Amino acid sequence: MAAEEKKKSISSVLKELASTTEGLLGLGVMDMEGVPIAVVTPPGSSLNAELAAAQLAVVVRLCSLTADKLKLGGFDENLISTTSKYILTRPLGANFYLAMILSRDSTTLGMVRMIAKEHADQIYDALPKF
Amino acid sequence: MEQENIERMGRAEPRGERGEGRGEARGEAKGETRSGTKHSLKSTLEEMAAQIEGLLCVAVAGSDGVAISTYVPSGSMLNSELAAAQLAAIFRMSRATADKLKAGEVEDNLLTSAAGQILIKPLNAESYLAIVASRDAPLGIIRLAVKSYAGAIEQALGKVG
Repeated sequence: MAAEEKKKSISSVLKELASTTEGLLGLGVMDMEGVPIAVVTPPGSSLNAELAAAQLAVVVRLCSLTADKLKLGGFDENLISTTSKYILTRPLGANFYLAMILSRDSTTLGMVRMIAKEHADQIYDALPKF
Repeated sequence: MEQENIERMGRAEPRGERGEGRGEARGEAKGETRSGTKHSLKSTLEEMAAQIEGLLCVAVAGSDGVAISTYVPSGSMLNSELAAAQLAAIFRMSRATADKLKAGEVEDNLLTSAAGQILIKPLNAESYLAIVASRDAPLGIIRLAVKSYAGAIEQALGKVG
């Protein structure tokens, strides 16, 4: 019951953030196994959340491993810029990660980086702590 | 500043002194030319590196993780061979991700950690350019350097391959 309540609060935080983020195609909290916990996609977005969660979990793990192997401290953020999208991932503690996909046309790199940090902090606070 | 870069890049181009100057047998001259172009890739990387404060490593490597040319400034403890191998995995992964999420072609991949920043830029299907810098290195300068040198690096790489 308590877990159910916390889960609800994550999605409400996500919804709130999603509504104020320009160019958003998808925003979600996933676990490190690649399973989506809570995902918000604006109407019209064709994003496959299951696929994104699974694929981006591999990205997050690889980035953590890389930062570790190269002795560059804890992994903070990975941003893939493609011709049409920004695909951003950020670990939320050891068990979850934040994924954000934005349309490249309607936002800027600086904006994406700024929003990501802000969102990650708010979502992390809403996550259940084990 | 940009003009100066172009001038310096021009100077870094091989002038054929190595191969021609010696007037050796053809086979050997060919070998010399190859090492000459390799030098040009290396010197282009060095030139780019000189512009980035807080740089830890610049590398051009294949998607198989084998380094083609690397530059590690003195004082950096980074293992460039390990970096080339590890970053190749990210290069391949970001491409697979863009592919699966139908996001078109990867333009670059920026990884940020507590102590570092890594920018990976695909040069072609089989190779990439990577900049590893400390966290306090200005990202704008890194991006500018990559933008202005990517062409020269690709060109030098074409001569090697």
